[in-house]
Amino acid sequence: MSIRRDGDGILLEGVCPIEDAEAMLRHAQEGAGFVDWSGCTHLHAACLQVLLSSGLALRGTPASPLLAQWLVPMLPVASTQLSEA
Amino acid sequence: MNELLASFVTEARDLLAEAAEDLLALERTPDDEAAINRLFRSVHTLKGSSGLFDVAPLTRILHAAEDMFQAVREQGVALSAEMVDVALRTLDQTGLWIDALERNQTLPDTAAAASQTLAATLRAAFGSVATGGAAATAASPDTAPEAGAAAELLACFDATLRRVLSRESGSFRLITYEPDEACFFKGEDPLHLALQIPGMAALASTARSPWQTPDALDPFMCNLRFHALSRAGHDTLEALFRYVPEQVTILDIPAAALLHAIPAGAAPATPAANPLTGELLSAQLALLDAPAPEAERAGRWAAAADVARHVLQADGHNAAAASVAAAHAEAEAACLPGRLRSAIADVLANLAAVVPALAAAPAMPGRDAQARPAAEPPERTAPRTLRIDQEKIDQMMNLVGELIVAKNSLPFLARRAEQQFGQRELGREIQDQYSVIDRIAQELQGSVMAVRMMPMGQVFQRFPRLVRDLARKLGKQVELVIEGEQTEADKNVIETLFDPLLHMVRNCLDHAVEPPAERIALGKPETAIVKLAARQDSDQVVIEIIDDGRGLDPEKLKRKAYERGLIDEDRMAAMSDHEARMLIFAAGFSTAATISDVSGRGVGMDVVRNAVEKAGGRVALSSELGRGTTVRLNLPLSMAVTRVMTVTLHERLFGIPMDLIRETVRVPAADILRIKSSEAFLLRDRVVPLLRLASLLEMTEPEAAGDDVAVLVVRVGGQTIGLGITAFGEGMEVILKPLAGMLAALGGYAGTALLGDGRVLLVLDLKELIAT
Amino acid sequence: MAAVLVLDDSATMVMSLSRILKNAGHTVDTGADGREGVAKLTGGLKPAIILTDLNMPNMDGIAFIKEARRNAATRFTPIVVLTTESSAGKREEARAAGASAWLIKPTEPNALLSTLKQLLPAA
Repeated sequence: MSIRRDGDGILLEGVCPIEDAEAMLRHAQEGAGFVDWSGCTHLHAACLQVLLSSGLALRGTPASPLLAQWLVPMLPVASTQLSEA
Repeated sequence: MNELLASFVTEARDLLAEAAEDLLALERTPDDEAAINRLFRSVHTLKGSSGLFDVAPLTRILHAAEDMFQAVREQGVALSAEMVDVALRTLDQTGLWIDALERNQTLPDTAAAASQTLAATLRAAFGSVATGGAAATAASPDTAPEAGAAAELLACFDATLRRVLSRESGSFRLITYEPDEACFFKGEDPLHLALQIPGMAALASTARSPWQTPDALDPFMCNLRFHALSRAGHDTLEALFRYVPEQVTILDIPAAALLHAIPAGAAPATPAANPLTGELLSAQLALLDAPAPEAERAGRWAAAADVARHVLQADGHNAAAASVAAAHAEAEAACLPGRLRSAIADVLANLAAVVPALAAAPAMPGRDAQARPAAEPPERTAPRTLRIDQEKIDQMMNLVGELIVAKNSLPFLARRAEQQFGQRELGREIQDQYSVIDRIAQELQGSVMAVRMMPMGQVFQRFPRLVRDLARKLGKQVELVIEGEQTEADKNVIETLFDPLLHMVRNCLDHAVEPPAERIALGKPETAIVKLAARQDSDQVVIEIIDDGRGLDPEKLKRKAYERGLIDEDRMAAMSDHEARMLIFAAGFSTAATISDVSGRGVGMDVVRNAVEKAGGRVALSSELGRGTTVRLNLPLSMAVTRVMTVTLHERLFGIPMDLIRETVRVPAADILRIKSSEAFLLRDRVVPLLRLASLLEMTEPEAAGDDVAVLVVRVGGQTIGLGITAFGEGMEVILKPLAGMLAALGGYAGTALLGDGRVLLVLDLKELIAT
Repeated sequence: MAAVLVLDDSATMVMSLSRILKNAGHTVDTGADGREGVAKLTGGLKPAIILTDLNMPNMDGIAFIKEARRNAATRFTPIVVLTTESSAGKREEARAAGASAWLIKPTEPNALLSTLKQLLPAA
């Protein structure tokens, strides 16, 4: 699985296909607080839509340099909102 | 030949055969929609596959033919006889070139010129107007810079872009990519595409309509719009967006204009990324990678994270600094430096894109190695039929033949065990085992023979075309009816059949079928019917060629034979009508008043009879004057196994095909009649010529002066002949192999067979031996 | 590496495409027409990408694409149609039915692989 719920967060791993958008949206509705995408190598545009629209906080830097380079500036800077110890 | 070309050759032949069939069907029934669709598809597929090889002339004529059929299919162009002619010629030419490809792996030198002519003829035949001009017109993006629109678009870029732009001169391409709402259902991933933009300097996204709340969001409806700046040229960008040209606009913008257009924003004008930043970050990576005592690890991580964070903050990379800090926290929590290391490496990679001097920084850690997709399922293919090279089947047949021969040595062994070594038990056991192996070998043989069976349709399918062409040439109207094309026979039999059938059908159209006017005058239907029918009759396949033409006139045939000196007056008078009709099978007989180029001269029905008899078959004929003729061929279903009788001649063993042998007799030497140099004997009051096999084979051994002579009474070429030999042998089934190499040139032998004891048996071709 | 389903009624074309794909490390499943393609999908095959000819007996490429888009497992799967220059008009129809891209036959290995790469993040 490329997406899973891990406590308060949503963990993205490897290539996240379009189907993950639905799951991510469901987790967001069910109260997930943040998305850890440090293991993510690609994100389908539909998943990006969910990240952009849901305001989920992001943790880590994606494993893929392409995503890190182009998506980090695109998404709201959530890393600074990091509050948990 | 390479496998791909071999596959193409086979496929091309199938498609050509189908195309020819459909073409003829279409000529008969012009509104046969299924036929034109199939025809178009065959040619289309063939053309497509031909493009895989260096055969442009072939592709060109197929393309022209395809255009013709498309015109017929979609523009309602009527298919004329001329169009069918030239289309058939195209299929013929293709067939010839396929043959050439199979032989030489290349087209003949003349192909290019021939192709041009044929393609032109094809196009002329259906009055093609515009061809090849229908190239896809790609939506050409607007290249005129529109400052206003550009400024608006640029507003979405981060102010930090200024830094990048301030270093560059020249122009950028501003790309706006607005994917289709339903694009996800077309298998598209716009983000993946956008990330592939070459020479990208910036990427931003906007929502086409305001984002919905998570409850109302349809994640599968694309609401994204991407904006990108790229240093790459128009062509490169258009190539990337080739499948979605209508969703993309590309504008040219000089870097200077961009600087003005980008909002200064609230962010202070930060100094340009410092190369030192990169160096410091690389140093932290090296620190993390260096081995460290356990006690020092946490301190090292903290130090590396602190340095990285401070360097980044000093350079204005606040977000990056934050992510390093976060990564450090995680690394500490998990006791793994990986997160921190990759965070720093990522930042470094990001910077490298902005600051070219950093491009040489250490590569990314092998993080993605842990996220490989799961193993793919193994390939599954389930072909229902196999295409097998004939040679492989022949090879199998040979091996089966050898197995049968090897198996036949077991009874010898059993006998030796019993007689020579006195081991009766062992002998019997060998015999028992032999029975088992014998049964399996026979079943195996049956299976292989079944594989070799081919439907008669393989031969018949070539005739509709032939009959059509011939009828057109002769100005006759003929309907060919084919029956029993599913009847199966051994491939050798099928292959042997084509030429005889061709002769007969030609003869039939040339001589038997009357011109339409004559048929009308006779009160017959204008269109003659010629029927090719096949059926199985026990272990034989029966093929009939039936026409409703003139029928054979015995009187005319007799006169002709007499004029040609084939029969004398007495014989002519004594001949029955049936015998007279059979004259058409006599060598050198031709009834046509004029020699046409259809049947030609010398290729009479005698050739047919020879070929059929050589294949172990018989020819029969019935005819009624004015009503038509039926020629019937009986052929064995299989030619793979031949029953022979072995004969001894001066201690040498020969095989003689059993189907020729009528009986074996011993003729007392005294009863042999000598007429001049030839011999004969009386068999039930009939004089039968006696030929000595030894002299037929030009053996020099003296004739054994025995009391009587072993004589094999055989029937060859409709004649009963006695064959003098030394001794009779036994009857057996053998797998006949044709003579190879130098022996093949030797007349008089049908082939060789391996015997159980390892000896090679020469099987005689009596017909040829006796004729020479 | 990706699982690719190739549909073409020409065995030669299938062989050629399979060879290119396998050489590039992909796994290949094949079918001779749309009907065989649908059978593979309903049989549980879940390719990462599908290549299909348009002109095929029994069920043509357009009909196959429509079927594949109705199938939950392949509604988002990239589908590349294999066309010839003469069937350019069919591309629009194929796109409307749900095709992602097209390739012109005969397909250059580089063109095939770059289209695959362009469509598949994991390829």
